[in-house]
Amino acid sequence: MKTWIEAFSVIDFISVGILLTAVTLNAFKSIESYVKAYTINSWLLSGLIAVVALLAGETHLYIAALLTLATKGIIIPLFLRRIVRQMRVTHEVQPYISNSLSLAISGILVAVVYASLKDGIFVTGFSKNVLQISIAVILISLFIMITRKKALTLVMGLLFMENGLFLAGFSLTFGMPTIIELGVLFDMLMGVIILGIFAVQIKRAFASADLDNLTVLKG
Amino acid sequence: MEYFQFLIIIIFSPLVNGVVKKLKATMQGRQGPGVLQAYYDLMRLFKKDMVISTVTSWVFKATPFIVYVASIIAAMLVPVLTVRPAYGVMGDVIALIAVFALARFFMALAGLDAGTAFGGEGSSREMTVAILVEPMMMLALFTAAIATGSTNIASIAAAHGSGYSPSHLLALSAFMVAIVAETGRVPVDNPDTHLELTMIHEGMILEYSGRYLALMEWAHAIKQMVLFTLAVDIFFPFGIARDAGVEGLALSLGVYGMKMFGMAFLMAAVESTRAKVRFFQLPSILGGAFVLAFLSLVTHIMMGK
Amino acid sequence: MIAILIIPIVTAVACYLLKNPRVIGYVSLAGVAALAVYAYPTIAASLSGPVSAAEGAFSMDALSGYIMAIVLFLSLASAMYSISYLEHELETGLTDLRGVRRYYGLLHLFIFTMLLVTMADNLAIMWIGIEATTIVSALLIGLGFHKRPLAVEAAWKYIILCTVGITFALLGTFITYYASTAVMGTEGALNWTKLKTIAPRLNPETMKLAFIFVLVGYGTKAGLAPVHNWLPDAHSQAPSPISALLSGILLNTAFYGIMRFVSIVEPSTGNAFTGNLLIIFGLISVGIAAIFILVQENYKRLLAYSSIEHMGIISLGVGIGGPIGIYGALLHILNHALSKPLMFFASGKIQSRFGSQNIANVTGVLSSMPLLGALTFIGALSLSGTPPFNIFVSEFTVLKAGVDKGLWLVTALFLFFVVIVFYGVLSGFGKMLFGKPDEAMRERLAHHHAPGFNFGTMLGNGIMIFMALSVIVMGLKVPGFIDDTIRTCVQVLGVK
Repeated sequence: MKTWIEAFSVIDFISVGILLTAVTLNAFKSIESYVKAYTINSWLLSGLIAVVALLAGETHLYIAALLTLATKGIIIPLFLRRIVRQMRVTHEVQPYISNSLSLAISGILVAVVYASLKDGIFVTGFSKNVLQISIAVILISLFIMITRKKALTLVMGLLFMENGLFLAGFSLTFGMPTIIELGVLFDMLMGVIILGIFAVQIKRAFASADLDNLTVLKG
Repeated sequence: MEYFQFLIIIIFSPLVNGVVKKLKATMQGRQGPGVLQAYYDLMRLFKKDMVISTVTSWVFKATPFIVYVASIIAAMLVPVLTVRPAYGVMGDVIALIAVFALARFFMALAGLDAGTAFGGEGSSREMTVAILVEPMMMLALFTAAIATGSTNIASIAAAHGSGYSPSHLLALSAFMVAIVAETGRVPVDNPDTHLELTMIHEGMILEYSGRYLALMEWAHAIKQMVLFTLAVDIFFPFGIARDAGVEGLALSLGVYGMKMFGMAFLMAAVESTRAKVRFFQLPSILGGAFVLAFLSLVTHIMMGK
Repeated sequence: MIAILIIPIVTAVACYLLKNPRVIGYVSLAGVAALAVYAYPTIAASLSGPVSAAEGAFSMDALSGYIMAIVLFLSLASAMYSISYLEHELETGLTDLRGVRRYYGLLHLFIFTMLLVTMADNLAIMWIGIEATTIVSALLIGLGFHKRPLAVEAAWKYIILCTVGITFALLGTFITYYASTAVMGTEGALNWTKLKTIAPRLNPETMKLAFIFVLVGYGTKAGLAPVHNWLPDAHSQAPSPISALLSGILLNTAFYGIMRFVSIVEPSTGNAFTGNLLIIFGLISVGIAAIFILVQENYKRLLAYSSIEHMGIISLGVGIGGPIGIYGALLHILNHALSKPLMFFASGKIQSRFGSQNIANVTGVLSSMPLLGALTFIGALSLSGTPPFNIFVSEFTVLKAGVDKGLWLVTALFLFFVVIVFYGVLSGFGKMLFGKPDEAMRERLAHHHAPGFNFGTMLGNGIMIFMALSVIVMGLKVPGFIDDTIRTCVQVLGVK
């Protein structure tokens, strides 16, 4: 099994898959596609952790993979779907810039990250490429957050950013101790739920989920 | 043998077209024309008289021949059964793309030449798509070229190892999108209709009839098969013969046939499951594929494989 | 020691389950009081030497004890003030029983999360605590959103910005873990007690990167410019007792996280790196806050910008470093935690009486409400840095540290900004305090018959008077026991 993983460079494929699901966000128009991409992204992430667990033979990594799958892969997507249905904003995410431009910019972002981290400041745990990819994912999600109008897309960007961060964490350290993983995941779960609640409240209070309405407070 | 392998493409390209049509019909639950229908069509067209608009110039008459010859040259550039280089230094991916560009240039000119609205429309759309597709194809091919250290298609096919890397997969996906766009298939263009609002390729050749039309259609079929062959050469070169031995060639021929069928099946599946998108949404899709190709290149440079 | 964390949770559950708003208020007060009494021995012990519990999962030294004492004091103050504040909200129909139960439940959870931050030995658990403060306090800010859409806006900005920021801090924590596992293996690799002992051996390049991420991340929470945008919105829209907690201790707990990292990163990278970054962030914060204070028309937002200014001063103090700089910063934490909540409490009363947050709509507070006016006046004088009030003392200490180190440019800029703030704060509150209430307002105030003797109001006023007195006392002379505590903290931080 281990030789098989190495021969087919499974880790590279999964991590590029994670990057790809983040890049596709730029092309999507509906918030449901965002949720789908996020689900795939989380599954890939948990799969990657499982593969690394197999390679390293560490029990706490298997637990981490399961936890990731349960929270990011199942609970959060289900919750997001409910929120989307509740808000009835199934259509456009209304980016500030066109999809093509946004795709191009995220491509450039990836290239910049690759170029600037080319030599790798870190000798990472299991693959020397994963850190670059995770930083690229983080940057792309930040980019998504600043160029999309709807409240929920901001939440999606945040979630992708967290996935990228987890990826970085795993590539650096083979994961944290289980109890800490648990705490971090729990915090993030609560954060997402509360963001979801607020998104619904924004919709209710301003009769639209456009963040353009949130400009009363300034100065 | 390697000097004549291009004839396979020229002879069988209408067949591939017919197979795609038949598969598409089967998937959509229709009877569909027989696989040889494309040959009958060509024969019928060759027999017919031509009607040529009086306002056209020499460009209109020269284009079918230029396009047809360009397609044949393209077919000569790709290795079909064996990776032995047939014509010395020829067989370069960049040359291949240049030949296609030449054909496209004259086709667009001919579309404008007749002075009809649809021809001009088709030409303008074709060039718009080309602007997006050509660099994408180049990038995807460059990834393969860098991986093997050569821009010669035969060398790329010969040097391809057994393993795949993420960059390969990304380049392949981008290249598939490029093929769909180049051959005028469904998400980009619809090869089956002459609906004036959407047609691209059909718009350009709308004024042609008889022998000229036959040449154009045949050239298009050849181009399609060249692209299919290029894809399998670069991304799945298994079973392709390394020399001119008879058993190797026979095996290679069988494998090649199956690969072509696989590509035809893929195209039919794409066409049957996708809907044609509006022209103004095309940049978004093709831009996405372009980013795929770009990512494949940078990923390759980063990972070194 | 674990019980310190259990008491607020029990209180939170009790507050949420009870059905009588008056009883809830006093139960909450009793809970915080019990907590303070129970925690006192632990804090006292931590000042003389490190204490730990739960097999080293929690561990406190003098700095944790100091911050925890401030957290507990302000929680107590806030619980006292909340009683009358919520009674008034209930009377005017701004909230209902459900709102009150939620408010108190969340208030105690909020206290719990901040205590967790001060007690955690593990940097990742500290991160969990700080992220939890964001979540709980966002709910507190957005509470009662059905009636106040602006609160939703504020809470949304707050939680989005802070979660993004804090995610960076997690990355920094990951990188620290990476650096420390390289030196000491995975066992306890994130415990600051252990990290401090191996700090000089950590890879400086890695730690630099980690510190940048952590500074941006926790800096967002601590309200350092230029990532402060959430702060004025959140502080102005939250209920006043919550604004007091946000400003008085939430910012400090986040800054506590930064200080922990500074003490780990500094031995590895040398103090020029951390110091310069903190000085730059501090100066930007003070500068931006000064400009916005000058043009501010909303007094709660003015107070919020003043918080940014004071966090900037604290950051400046830590950045300048040296025993005097750290001493000034720590003293400033306490002074700010006394003056700012006092001002928020007072502004809550002003807002409920005048029904506006706009400076222009409020005049003659001093003549119409002498006690409240006097308290506000003391607070405003203190916040603006007027001698001989407490904030002047700590600002002066930071300034002296800068002069001692010969950082002339920094000192000059700092002085310049502080003078602007002085003018801005005093002119803003001067307009509100002096003059006569206008005609309509006088009628409303006359109409507003003072309620008879009310224990809740008395508690609220009592704590405000106590805070005002301590503001004055701290200005005249720093009491001996506080002086000793801060000196111990400076030693514990290993500053020479």
